[in-house]
Amino acid sequence: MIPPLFLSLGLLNLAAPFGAFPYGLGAVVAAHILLNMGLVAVAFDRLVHSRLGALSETAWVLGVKSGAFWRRIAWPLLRADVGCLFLFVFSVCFTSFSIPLLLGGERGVTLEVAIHDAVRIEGRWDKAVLFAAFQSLMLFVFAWLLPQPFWPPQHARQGLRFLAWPRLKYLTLAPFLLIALGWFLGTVQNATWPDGLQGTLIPATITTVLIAVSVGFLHLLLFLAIAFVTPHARLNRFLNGYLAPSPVITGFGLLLLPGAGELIDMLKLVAALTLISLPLLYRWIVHSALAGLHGQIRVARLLGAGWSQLLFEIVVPQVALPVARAAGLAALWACGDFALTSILASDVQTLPLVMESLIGNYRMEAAQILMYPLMLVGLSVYALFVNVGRYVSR
Amino acid sequence: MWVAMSLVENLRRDYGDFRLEIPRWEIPDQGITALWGPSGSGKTSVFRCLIGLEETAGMRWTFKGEDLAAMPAPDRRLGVVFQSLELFPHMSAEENIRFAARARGVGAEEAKARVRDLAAELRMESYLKRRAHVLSGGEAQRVALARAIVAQPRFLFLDEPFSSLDAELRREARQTVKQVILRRKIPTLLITHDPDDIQELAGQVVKMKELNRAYA
Repeated sequence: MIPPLFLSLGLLNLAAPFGAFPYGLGAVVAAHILLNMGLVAVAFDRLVHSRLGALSETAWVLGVKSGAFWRRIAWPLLRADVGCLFLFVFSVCFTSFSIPLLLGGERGVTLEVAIHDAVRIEGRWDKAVLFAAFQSLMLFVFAWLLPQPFWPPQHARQGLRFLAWPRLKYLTLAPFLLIALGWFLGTVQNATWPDGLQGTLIPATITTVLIAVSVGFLHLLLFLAIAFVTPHARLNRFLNGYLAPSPVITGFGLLLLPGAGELIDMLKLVAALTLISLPLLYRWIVHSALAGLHGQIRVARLLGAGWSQLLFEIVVPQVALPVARAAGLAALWACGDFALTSILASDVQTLPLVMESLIGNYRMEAAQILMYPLMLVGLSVYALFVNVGRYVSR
Repeated sequence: MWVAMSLVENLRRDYGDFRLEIPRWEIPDQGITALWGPSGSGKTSVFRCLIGLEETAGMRWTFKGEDLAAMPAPDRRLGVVFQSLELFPHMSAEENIRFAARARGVGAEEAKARVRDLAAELRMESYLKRRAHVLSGGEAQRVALARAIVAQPRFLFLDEPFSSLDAELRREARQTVKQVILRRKIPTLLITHDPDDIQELAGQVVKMKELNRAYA
C-alpha cells in the first residue's frame, strides 16, 4: 500500500494537465481504488492459492472446463472470503482520513472529515462525539461480521495455469505505474525548489525520520511481545477480530490525554500511528509467520526449553525478518502521515506537513520536489528495518 | 519376571462428540508398549493427555513415586517424537539435538559427547551439519528421535513416527529405533495403527477399544 500522500500527489499531477485539480468525491473514490488494489491483489492471490490450488490441478487433470470450475467449485468456495475481503476493504476506506482531507474538497466530506471539522473548525465536541459513536458502532459491526481466519496464511505455491492468465498479474502494478507517471509528469513539467523553506527542511526531515523510526521500533517491540506469548488463542482471536480505530477518533482521543509539550505530542503521535497500522500488519504479515511456529514452540516447551531459549533460538530467528518487514512498512507509512500529525502534533514540523501545506496553497510544483526526499527517507527507514531483520534472522 | 509399572489413574476427558474414560492403566517402566487402535479411536488424545498438552483434571500418573500429571508438561521430562516431527527448520540437525540437551541443562561438553554417540548409533554423521528443512524423511526422523532422547527422558512417546516413511525405510527405521531405545532402557509408549509396528517393536500391546471404558 502506497502512503496516501504519495498517491494523492501522483493523482493530482496526473489530472493537472487536463484542467482543474481533481478534488471531490470522485477523486476520493479513485484514490481509494488505487490505494487498495495492491492489498486486494495480495489477499486474493493468497485466497486462490490456499483454497483452490490443489483443487484446480485436480480439476485440470480431470478435464473440467474452466467456466464450470469457476462456477461450480471456485465461486462457492470463495464467495464467503470475497465477501469478507470486501467488508475489510470497506472498513479501511470507511476510516480513511488523509485522502478525504487532502482530496475531498468541499463536496467530498466524509464522516472522518466531518468529525475532524466539528472539533477543529466548529469547536462542537457534542457533534463530533455523536458522529464518532456512530462510526465506532459501524466498526464494531464490521469486526463482528468478519470471521477469524479471514486472512489466509501464505500457502505453498500451486500450479494455477488452469485457473488464470498469468500475464494478468502485471495489472497489479497498474496503480503504482499510474502514480509514478503522475510524479514523472509533475516533476518534468513544473517542479521547482520551494523558496523560503530552506530553514525548515532539515529539521522537518530529522523529525520525520525520528517519528518513522519510533513507530517502526514500537511495532517491532509489540510484534515480538506477541510472538513471545504465541500460541495464545484469545490474543490471536482479538488481533484477528480487531479493526484499526478511526484515525480521527484515535487522534482526538489521545489529544484529550494529559500532558503537553513537543516530546509528549510526539509520543502520542507515535502511539496513534501504531494503533492505526498494527492490526492490518498483524493480519497481513505477522499472523502467518507466527502460525508456522506453533508446533515447534509446543515441542520446544515439552523438551523443557526456558523462555529465553524459546525466544532467542526458536522464535526470533524465524520471525525476525517478517516482523522487521512489517515494522519497516509501518515506518514507511508513518513517513507519509500528515493527518494525525496535524491533530496531535501540529507544532512539530515534518516533511509531509510541509508538503500538505504547500498543496493546500496550490504550490504543487514545490510539493512535488519535496516528495523525493520524503520517498528517500521512507525507503531508507524501510530498508533499515528489513536489514536489521535479515541480520538478526541469520 | 516382575516388571515395574507406572500407573495412570482417572484419565477422563469429554470432547463433546468423543469421550475418553480410562480409570486405571498400568504401563511397564521398561521396553516398548504400543497403544494400538484404528484412526479416530482416540490414541492421539491419550497421548496428548499424558504429555500434558490437554487439561485432565483429576488424573494421576504415578511414575517411580512421583505424580507426573501434577507437573506442568515441561517438568515431566518426557521425550516426544510427533508424527509431523516438528524439527526446527532454521537449525542444523546437530543444533536441533543440542537445543534439547541445553533445554534440560546438559553441559556443553557432555552434550557434545552425547550428540557424538547418538550420531554414531543412528548413523547421522554425514548430515549432522545440514539444515533440518533439507533433510530427507528418514534423516529427519532419526534427528527427531535423537532430539527426544538426548536429555535421557523419563519416558519416550512416539506418535505414529514411521507413517511418513516408505516401506523400505520404515523397516530399517523400526530396527534402528528399537535398538537405540532398548540399549538405553528408555520406557516407551508407541502410538500406532500399523500392525507391522506392533509386530516388530512392541513388547506389550494395549488396544484402545479395551482401554477406553467409554466404548463399553
